[in-house]
Amino acid sequence: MAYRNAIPTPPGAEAKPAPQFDSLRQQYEADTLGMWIFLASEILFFGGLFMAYVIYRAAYPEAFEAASGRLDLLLGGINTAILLTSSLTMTLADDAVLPRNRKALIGWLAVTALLGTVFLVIKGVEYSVEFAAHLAPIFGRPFDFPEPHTEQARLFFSFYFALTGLHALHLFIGIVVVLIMLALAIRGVPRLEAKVTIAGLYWHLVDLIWVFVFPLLYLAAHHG
Amino acid sequence: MDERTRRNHLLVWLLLLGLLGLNIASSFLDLGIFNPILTTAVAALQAFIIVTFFMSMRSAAPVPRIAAAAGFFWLLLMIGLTLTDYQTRFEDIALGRLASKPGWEAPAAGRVPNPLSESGYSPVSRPPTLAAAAPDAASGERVYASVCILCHARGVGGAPRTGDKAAWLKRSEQGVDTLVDHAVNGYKGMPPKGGHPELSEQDVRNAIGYMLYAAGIQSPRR
Repeated sequence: MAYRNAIPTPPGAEAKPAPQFDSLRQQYEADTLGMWIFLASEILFFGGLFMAYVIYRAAYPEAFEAASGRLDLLLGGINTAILLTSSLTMTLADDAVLPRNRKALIGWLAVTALLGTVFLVIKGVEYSVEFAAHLAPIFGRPFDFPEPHTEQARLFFSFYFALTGLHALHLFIGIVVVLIMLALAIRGVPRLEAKVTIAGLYWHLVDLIWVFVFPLLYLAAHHG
Repeated sequence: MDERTRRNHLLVWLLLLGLLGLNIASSFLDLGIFNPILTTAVAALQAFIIVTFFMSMRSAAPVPRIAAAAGFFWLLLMIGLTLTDYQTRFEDIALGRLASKPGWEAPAAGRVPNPLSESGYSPVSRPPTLAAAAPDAASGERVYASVCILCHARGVGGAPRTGDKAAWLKRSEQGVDTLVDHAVNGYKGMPPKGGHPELSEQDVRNAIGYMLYAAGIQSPRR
């Protein structure tokens, strides 16, 4: 929920800030500030990987194009749309907290977690196809790619599994966090607005990272 | 909840999906260098929309705003500084821009040499009179830039770093011939001829001459 709407908070016994804060407004600002500092570290974490990928792509453009063409553009595109939609449902859940629309909150949180799970399932299908096609240079598995780009393609797929794997780990954590919010909402725990907002910030950042992962990896090839 | 706000969220979502479609469509067109530029720009626009609307940056308090802006600012600093380094140093080698330097053989058109797994440098056959001559730092630079740089620029595996005067002074006391012998036949972490058997002993000697020159120990022979 937007900070502007969070103030003034609804009157009531529970609408008191934690003892270390002067006001609910200050508490809410501190919550989002802490989250944004964490998110900034996440941005730099993934930014370093993106940077390394971009440098090697500039060094081996033909090989990275050939390797990118082996990814499943359709499944990748569907997954991107799913994540963007999950950000919408997360926002709708966030908007349902302060009007105390508990039914909507529970519903949108459940849809968000479901969309995240569908993303991971589709990603798993992609991985299994790539494992079977010997495109996964991880866990000592065989790697086959036509010459002369074999070694550079191995580099591309190492980036692919590192980036998408780390993103999937983040998304899995996001699903767990959303499910915790869902459990709290079902139990009727009051004053969830800061918690849901912060869970939402994390969820949107995982979406935002994918928004860069998708064109970098999947759209490096010409599909025409 | 407020219907107007909900409609805004839906419009933002449709806009994000539309940009996704635009990005995918662009990969079916051959725009040359503009393909990656366009897809990255569209992704950046999508990210901006997500941060502004879904992450409520539009209505956030000043301090969280600064924290978020700092994250993206550091990212830009990191990208800017890294690209500066690679565009001015690594790329020169990778893209054969050293071609403008005298004596450098330009790579075949359409072929980008791969500095990490192959050498863009093809040894020039020299008249025998030049063999066993004193190190020629100017031609050694070419050998250095295509082979030796991979380890000696950063001191990989205990290699004396280029420009590290103390490290090179210690080694130069053994005499250039000993250094050449070690470099040609291998010594500790130094693989024979740096793993490039096509290099001649004179090539290795020249490269050592260049690195001694770079360390400020020996003046280049013109």
